[in-house]
Amino acid sequence: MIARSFRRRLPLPALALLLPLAAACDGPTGTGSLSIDVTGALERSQTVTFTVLRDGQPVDLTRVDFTFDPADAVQPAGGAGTFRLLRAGAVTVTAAMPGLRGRRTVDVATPPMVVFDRLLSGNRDIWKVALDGLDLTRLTTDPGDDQDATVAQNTVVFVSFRGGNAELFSVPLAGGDAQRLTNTPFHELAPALRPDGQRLAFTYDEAGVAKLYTANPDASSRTWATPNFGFDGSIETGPAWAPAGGRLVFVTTSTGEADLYRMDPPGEPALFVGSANAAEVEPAFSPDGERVAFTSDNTPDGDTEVFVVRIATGAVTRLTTRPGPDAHPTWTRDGRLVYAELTGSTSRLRWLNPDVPGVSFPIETGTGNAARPFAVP
Amino acid sequence: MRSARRLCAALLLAPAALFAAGCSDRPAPLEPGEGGVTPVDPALAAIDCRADVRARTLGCAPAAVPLGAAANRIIGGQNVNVKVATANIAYDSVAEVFAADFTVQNLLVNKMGTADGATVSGVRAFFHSGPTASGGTGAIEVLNASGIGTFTAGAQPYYQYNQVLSYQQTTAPLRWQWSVPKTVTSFVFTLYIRTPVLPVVVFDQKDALGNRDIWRVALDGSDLVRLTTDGYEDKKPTVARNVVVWATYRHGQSDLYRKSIFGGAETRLTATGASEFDPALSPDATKLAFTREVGGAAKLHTANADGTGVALAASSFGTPASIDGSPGWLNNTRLVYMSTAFGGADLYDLSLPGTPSELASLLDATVTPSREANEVEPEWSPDGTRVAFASDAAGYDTEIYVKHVGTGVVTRITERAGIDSHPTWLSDGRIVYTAHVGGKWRLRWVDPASPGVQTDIPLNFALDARSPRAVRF
Repeated sequence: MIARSFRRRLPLPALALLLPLAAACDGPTGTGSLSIDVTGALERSQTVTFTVLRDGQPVDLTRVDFTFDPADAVQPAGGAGTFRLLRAGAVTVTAAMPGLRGRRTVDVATPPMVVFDRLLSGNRDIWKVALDGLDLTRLTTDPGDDQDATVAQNTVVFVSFRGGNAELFSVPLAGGDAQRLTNTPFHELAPALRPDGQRLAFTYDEAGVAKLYTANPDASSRTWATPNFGFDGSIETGPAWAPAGGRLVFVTTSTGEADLYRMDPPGEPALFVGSANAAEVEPAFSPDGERVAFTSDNTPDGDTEVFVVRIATGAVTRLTTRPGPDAHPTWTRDGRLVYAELTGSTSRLRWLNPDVPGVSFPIETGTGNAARPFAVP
Repeated sequence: MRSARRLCAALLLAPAALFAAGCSDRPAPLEPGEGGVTPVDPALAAIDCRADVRARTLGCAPAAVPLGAAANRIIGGQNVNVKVATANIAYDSVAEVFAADFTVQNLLVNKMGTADGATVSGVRAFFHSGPTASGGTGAIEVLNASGIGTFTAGAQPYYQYNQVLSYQQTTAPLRWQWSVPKTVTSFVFTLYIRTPVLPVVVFDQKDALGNRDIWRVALDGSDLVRLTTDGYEDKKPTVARNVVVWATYRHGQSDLYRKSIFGGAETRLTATGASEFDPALSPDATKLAFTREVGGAAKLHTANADGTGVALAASSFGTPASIDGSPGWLNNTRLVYMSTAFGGADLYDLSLPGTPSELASLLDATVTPSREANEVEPEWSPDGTRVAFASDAAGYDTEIYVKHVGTGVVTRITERAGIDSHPTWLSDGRIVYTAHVGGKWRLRWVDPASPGVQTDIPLNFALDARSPRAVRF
């Protein structure tokens, strides 16, 4: 319950900051006159510090004996009163001093989850993982190449080359059998499920070049979304849905280089973010619909980095600065950005808080290459 | 496209040479509606490559062609715009490395690898998708890419050819290498070519003897080629998809002819006894608009690009004596053109079939009392948001203007004393036009974003170059 009320009062990205926050406690629940405050993000694998108060004044934590229920819910993490949260769910902490006692229950959240494709032992499949690297689960096992997953309403849609060309398949987020959605001699790529799970956008190249289509979530009744837009030969790719309202942002090369266009199907596209002689690709809406992250090489050295544009103002902020490509941004439900960091032929997942872009964190996905993350809404 | 891809897939089982030849040849044209699939112009198809590891074959079939307002273009169109060829295909099963020599040949009339004719930016072939195993299991990796870039997605490998390619010129070979496990039997990838392209225009110009013919030239004045040589006057060219149509007086009145931008035979499109003039090809070169004299007044007509299916475009518009002229297509159903339907020359927007609506009618407020100005020679910008045209709205001095169709805002582009006219949009958003200087016409270009800077296309200014039309692809 504490975690929920915490989220209601603070901007969601703050949850990820690990900034010292004076957590809003429900008040002392223990016996005696000790009360317990907690500082830090109440999320699995994060580190928090419990502060113990007596008559409103902090006590020396080295004199406090902490116990937890469940007992394996935390492990010490350095200083007195500092612990790493090992599991999600309710955790009751008890602070005891000679003759005094206090107790408090906190709710530890499960970190947001992403689906992604992982190249392991020569086979690329769809996996999911929580941001703390736990709950790593393989969702597809076909020996063919599976990649580029999107997810909504507990359904994952992805691209598979198991039939010799790019086709769309789906699999339950909880795991299960994959179901083939398309069966054409052409390439279906770049799927994007609308957050309500009721529409699917993807690209289809029957016209000789990838064009943007929308369809039912099972890929039936596909409709060309941009019949009067661009040139016959302009490429369209990378569609992303707004969290509500049905707006799409996608990539097109209709102006020479790849730019971002927005559209409200069946309306006409309009330029959203573009620059001459640089590419803007891989758009992703923030969960509040106010920002769009994207990838661009519009940098002084041409390095590929992750940017974010605030829709209301058009202000663009560069989020990554590392030499080497950073790409494939996706927003978690609480406002963090997950992206892929490429070093040579190695690709790894990281996350950062867009409001504090200088600090990023690795997502442990084991051996092999992890790429194209998509956050579970 | 469907039949082309099936051809490649089928030939995977054939000997290497046969496979390579089959996938490199231009696919046979599809009949409309064949197999229920819209026919694909090979100029628009992406470069899909498929490698058979066991057979040591690698072939690339047609893949796509975009354009736009930046210096660089992303180009596909195997065997139409470019020809990506492979040679010396090998697979080292011990090292698990598949390799081939790749070359890129320029099949465009434009130079590739330079935006201005002087700066060498080179040609990049990048992986839009893949390489991905399509047979067997295993991860394919590009081993020796020139770099990783962002083209249509983040972090795409590319190979760089540091050359400028003229028409039909081929790059030096680069040896591409992939890490391909023995467990992979075939793999696929899609390529595009990203390169700056030097713009080209067609225009009419006199020769030293005073005979006006059709020419083409690059923006830096290079690659000047005379396309017609008939002793009668040829003028007002239009160009799309390498097809040039123009008006000629070789039969006593104005008729329309067509030929390839690369030269070759000429085909007469009209032979009615009436004058046909002001031709305009639609962007996909399937439709033609032009004026034909009806009762002594030029009226807007449309037709198929081969001159068949002629129809009056706006039969109930204007008066019998009003004059139509200078049409320009946005797409196959929407035109902008000039008409004197209400007295002065104004611009009209016409969606076929339909009734024209006024697009631009300016007032000249530099004179007292103000007067209705004339607007002529409109052309849609490549993205369809603007129309460039010529007008005498500035005190009888004809200048270039641009109207933003969505906002209605009209911007004057040229301010020079002297006539500026015949605007045409390059794919990169610049405008080429004719400037009357010292009693002769010359070609100039201007970036509407920097209208104060105007640059001559270096030609012999004594030869009176006029009526430019940009080559788009």
